Amino acid sequence: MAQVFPYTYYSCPCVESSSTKPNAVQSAPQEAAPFLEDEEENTFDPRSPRANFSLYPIEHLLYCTDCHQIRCPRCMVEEVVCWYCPNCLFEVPSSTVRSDGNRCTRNCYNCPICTSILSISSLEKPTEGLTPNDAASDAAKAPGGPYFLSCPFCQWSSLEIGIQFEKHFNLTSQLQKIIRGDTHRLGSVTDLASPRGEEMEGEIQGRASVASVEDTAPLPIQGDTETLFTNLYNFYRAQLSELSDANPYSLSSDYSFASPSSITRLMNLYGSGGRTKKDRPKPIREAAEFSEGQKVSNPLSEKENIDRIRSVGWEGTASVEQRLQQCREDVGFVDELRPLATLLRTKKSKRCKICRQILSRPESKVSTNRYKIKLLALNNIPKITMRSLNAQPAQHPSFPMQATAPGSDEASTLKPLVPTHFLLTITNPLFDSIKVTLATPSTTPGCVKSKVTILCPQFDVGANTDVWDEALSSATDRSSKRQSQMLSAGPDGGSLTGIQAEAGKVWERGRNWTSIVVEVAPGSLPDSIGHVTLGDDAQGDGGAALDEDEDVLEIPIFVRLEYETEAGGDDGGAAHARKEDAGKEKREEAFWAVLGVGRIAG
Amino acid sequence: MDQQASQAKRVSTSGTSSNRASTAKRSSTNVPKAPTSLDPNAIIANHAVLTGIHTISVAAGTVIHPHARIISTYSAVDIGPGCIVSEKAVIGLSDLSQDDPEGDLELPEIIKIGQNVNIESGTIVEAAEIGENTLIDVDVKLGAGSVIGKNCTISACSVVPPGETVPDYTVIYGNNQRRLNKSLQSTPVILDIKSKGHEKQLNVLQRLVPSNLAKWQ
Ligand SMILES: [Zn+2]
Ligand SMILES: [Zn+2]
Ligand SMILES: [Zn+2]
Ligand SMILES: [Zn+2]
Repeated sequence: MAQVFPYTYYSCPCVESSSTKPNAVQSAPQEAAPFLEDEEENTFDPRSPRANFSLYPIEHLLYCTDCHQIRCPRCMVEEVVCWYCPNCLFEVPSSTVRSDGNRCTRNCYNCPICTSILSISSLEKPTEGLTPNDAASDAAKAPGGPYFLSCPFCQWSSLEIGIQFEKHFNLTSQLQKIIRGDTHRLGSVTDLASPRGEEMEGEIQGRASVASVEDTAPLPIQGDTETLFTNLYNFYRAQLSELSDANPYSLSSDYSFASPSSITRLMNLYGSGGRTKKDRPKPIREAAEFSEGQKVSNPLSEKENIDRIRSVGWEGTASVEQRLQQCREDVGFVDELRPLATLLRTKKSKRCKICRQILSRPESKVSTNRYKIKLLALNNIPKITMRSLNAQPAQHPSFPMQATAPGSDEASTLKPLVPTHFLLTITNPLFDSIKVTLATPSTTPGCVKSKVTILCPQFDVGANTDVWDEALSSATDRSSKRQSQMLSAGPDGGSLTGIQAEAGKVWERGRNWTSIVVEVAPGSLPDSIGHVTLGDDAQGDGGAALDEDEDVLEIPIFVRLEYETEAGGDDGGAAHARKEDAGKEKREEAFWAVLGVGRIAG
Repeated sequence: MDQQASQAKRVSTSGTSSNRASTAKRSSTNVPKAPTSLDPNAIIANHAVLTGIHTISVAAGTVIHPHARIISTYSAVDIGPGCIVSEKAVIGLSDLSQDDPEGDLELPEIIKIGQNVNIESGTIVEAAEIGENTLIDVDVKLGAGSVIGKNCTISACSVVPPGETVPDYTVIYGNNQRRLNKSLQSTPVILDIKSKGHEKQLNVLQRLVPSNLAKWQ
């Protein structure tokens, strides 16, 4: 962990559930905090391997207002709101995506060399000399053909692979034509007149296939990938239709497990085998010849490739990235690379996996980046921050968040066995004041046992009211008292012990935040890290050496909130109100958080 | 690294008069107006800076933007016809201590920029030669004594190390990747189209940039 101390990670409740399968819907927890009951035994260990997957900074978390729980990326389900092309920003209907593939079928192409967007330009020879109304005439008439695709960045152009276009629109269909011309020229067996022919075209064009090059025509028997794909597609389709004709229980018609055909099939599998042998469908065989889409590796072409590498050199061979982008397996040289239709992007909405509530939903219009719904944990869960009390000078109470320089080494390095005071500040984003109860195991889990004491485990935090309320009202009595204490203690701050935090008392309080003191006595490291080789049972759970980052002091802390709010308020789910009492309902929330304090000095 | 020492060394290697050491120190405060040979059809903005002691020659049709700097302290500068030198571009060797701490690099006698070269803003040109129709994009650094061929494209923020020779039709893009511009090489029409575009750009700039040739003559 190479992060800056101090940090706070929030634990998503999904760490408790053993499975995150969608069938967890049935076992949706009715309680806000399912692990409240066995709180005593069940301490959260930030070092457990499972915890690793549920700890997030609060900015990364969403909050389900129906379940009243934090939701991490692991317990959300994503849904595609829309597909769009990042270049032309046209939305593509999902039915088109299904039939034509996830690439733009308009005029958007990416450079096969450097992936930047290609532009279409004319090859028309410009008129000689400049006429006075040159600009005007240029604007009036678009340059004539032929056209070609060119990359404004690396200067690649489709001319390098011999592709020109007659029109500057409808590139996809023009490329399609070039493919077909190419396939026919190669004399391969393409059944484009098949009933699926029309669909096949879409398939091919979705795959961003472009004609191959004249001078690099592959061996005739090999055919190119498009032909092979077409042949194989037709072959399997024919096999499947044969199967479904012969057998009503075939796979092709219905995949769902609840369908009658599937049940019958399962009954047959496990049953007494009432069916006779002749009912059994003949097994699906593999493609066996070229017309069926079989590809035979050709030793001759290998030799050819080696010769070609010899002649074109390193510059002439395509890089791994370039080859992977091509969606064709037989590409090895730069002059075989074709322009790539731009991949579509998606906008996704997120739902709670348990109750299906929408947690975030972007506006479906492609050109806006606003959100319709966005339930951030930041707006629903108190923010916990921590900083060292010793390292900080007497400061103005109006700036409670003013911390020591983050990441400064002195501040984040802890001396073993020396009790250190930390200031824990809880900031409330809610519009109701909250009652907070904090709990922490007296010694931290892990092999370095540090003692942690929360001096004031129960306190109130004010509501997130208007900022002006605070500004207009005088400073709260508690903080002014603290300030006067600070002043009396002297400006040097050396006599901080004189105003030492008293147990059970809040350190400082503001409009919607409260600070309390946490005393930490870091445990001593068994030995300097890296030198420990002997197993020391007293030190840890049988671990021989100190693991990586064992010297990081992380405090698991259990946060429990209680507050009263308007029934059926902003969450819109009055059904979930636990206790209705004159329009007010009492809510209770609880979660684990982990405070990373610093590294213990070895 | 003692900058003054290296500069003194440079002066001694190029073997010219001793008054250069004093002028070389800071061109902004101690600017000698460079001797020039300017075509009457060239356009040099009032706020362009032409300093140094060697001759700076600018051919017809070339546009030098305001705040472009041409420094002839160490070698003469010859800019061909129809070039565009954008603002904040620097042509000439200004501070050699970084490129050449030992002072053993062979310095060009003259920095020669061919016809219709487009030098974008922020670029530092210390190259010995740039071939015709080459585009040098923004914030490129062409190291001292490098030679850039004809019809090249040097993409933004690229760096050509000192002394390197970049062949004709080379494209430098991305993370200093290089490729040959085969389309341009094999299809002369593209070059015609590009030249036409350059011509149009020049035409606009010649109308937009007010020239003050008299200041530099
Ligand atoms: Zn989760
Ligand atoms: Zn598009
Ligand atoms: Zn490119
Ligand atoms: Zn939910």
